[in-house]
Amino acid sequence: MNPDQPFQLLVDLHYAALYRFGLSLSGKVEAASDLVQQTFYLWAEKGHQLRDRTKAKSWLFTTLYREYLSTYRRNMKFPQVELDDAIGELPSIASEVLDELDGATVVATLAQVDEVFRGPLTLFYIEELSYREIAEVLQVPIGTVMSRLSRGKEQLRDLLIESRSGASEKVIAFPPKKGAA
Amino acid sequence: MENKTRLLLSARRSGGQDDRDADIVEALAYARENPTLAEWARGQQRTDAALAAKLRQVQPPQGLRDTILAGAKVSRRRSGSWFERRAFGNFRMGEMLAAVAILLLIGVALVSQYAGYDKGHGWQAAAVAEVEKIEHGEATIDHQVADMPDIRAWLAAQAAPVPGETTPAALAKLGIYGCSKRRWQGQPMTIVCFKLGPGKDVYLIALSNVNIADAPPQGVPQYSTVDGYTTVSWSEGSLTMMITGKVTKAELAKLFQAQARLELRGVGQMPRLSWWGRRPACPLVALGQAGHLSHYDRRGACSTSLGTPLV
Repeated sequence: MNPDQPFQLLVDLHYAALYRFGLSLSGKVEAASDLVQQTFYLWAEKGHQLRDRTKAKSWLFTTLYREYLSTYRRNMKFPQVELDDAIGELPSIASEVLDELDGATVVATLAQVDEVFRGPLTLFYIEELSYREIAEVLQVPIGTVMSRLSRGKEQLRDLLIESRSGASEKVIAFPPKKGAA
Repeated sequence: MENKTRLLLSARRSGGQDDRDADIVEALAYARENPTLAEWARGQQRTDAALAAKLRQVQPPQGLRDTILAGAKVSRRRSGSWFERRAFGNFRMGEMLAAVAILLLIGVALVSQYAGYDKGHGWQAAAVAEVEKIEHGEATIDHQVADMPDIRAWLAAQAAPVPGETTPAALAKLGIYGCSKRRWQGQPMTIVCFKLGPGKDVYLIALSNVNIADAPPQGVPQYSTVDGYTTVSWSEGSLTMMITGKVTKAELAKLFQAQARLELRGVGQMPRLSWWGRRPACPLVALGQAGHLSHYDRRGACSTSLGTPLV
């Protein structure tokens, strides 16, 4: 990034993606907004200390994630997932399931994914960072990111299919008419 | 090989942004020779592209952008040089001279108070440099957890110094978010990261005093500034300890005052476990201006920094 890039441009480039990341992590609009505001506030205060300006985007995502950990998830514990354990066939989600989804449903379903997988998975679907950059943001080895993505996708797929079948089963019968035999 | 390829292809973004990554290139080449794998990868990409598109539909609340920009303006005003502020124009010459004189006096007082410590000892400068790298995002945190027993276990497994009994209990109330192991002059050095408040982090450093000729005294906090970081250092048995951060001396001192209050409340009551949970913390502190701490001596008894046994 150009070192003279104005703050406003940085906000315009990244605040929506950061908001989606914060929303998927916290599941709450207010918390996500606070996290994004706090992240940019910290950038305004400390961003000038970043020597490698090309890492501004990673810095923002890392900072938001740290703020989330320290503010909302003080007691969270991240188990390391072994690479071999994470390999599944991961069948694709049927296209009709995908067609029925909207953004809010995806965020709501992401919020149900285990927290350990939610961060990498959301960063992956936001598509702003490579898996290597996600490893830097989350400060875990690259292999761990790949295994968490694999496991997380599996969980997300199951949750989406489950929510769809649950919705189709929720058919409420009309009460019988009074006086009907 | 196929398992690794599946993981790599699963981590490949659907927009093709990763297609120049060497490992992804290799995985794609492998998949081209395996039709089943290639079909699976195409299915993954379709699903990923659809989910990414759905996620992009989510828009931030109206007004968030303006709030961010307004917040940053406030931040900049606050962090900007006071010379730049309009208030400067309202000073008259006499008032300015008085202000300069007061600042000089404060400066002289600070220099005399911190004589010998201002530039930082070698180990302090090295520790602060490591902390600076973490703060600037130039170094990663080795073990990112928010759980103290986990951090202790990890440090022990890495043969890194595990902070002990004189570590201020007030630290336990702060948000913890990870730890790292570094080296200084061949000795392992521990860095534990805490959140003191919004945008304010403090770091607990622990390293062996084997190579430190001028280690701080046992249990007596020594305050100094190193490269813009406020530090407080003390010794704990064979370990040299330091807490540092871009905070004020008062904020660091508070951690020790909280410790002192805790210790005094504990006198005559059941032994209180130290926050690291290794053994009961020493029950009494000799309170002085510097906030003396009690510690375990080599015989395993509690004593003050002056060597006075407490138990």
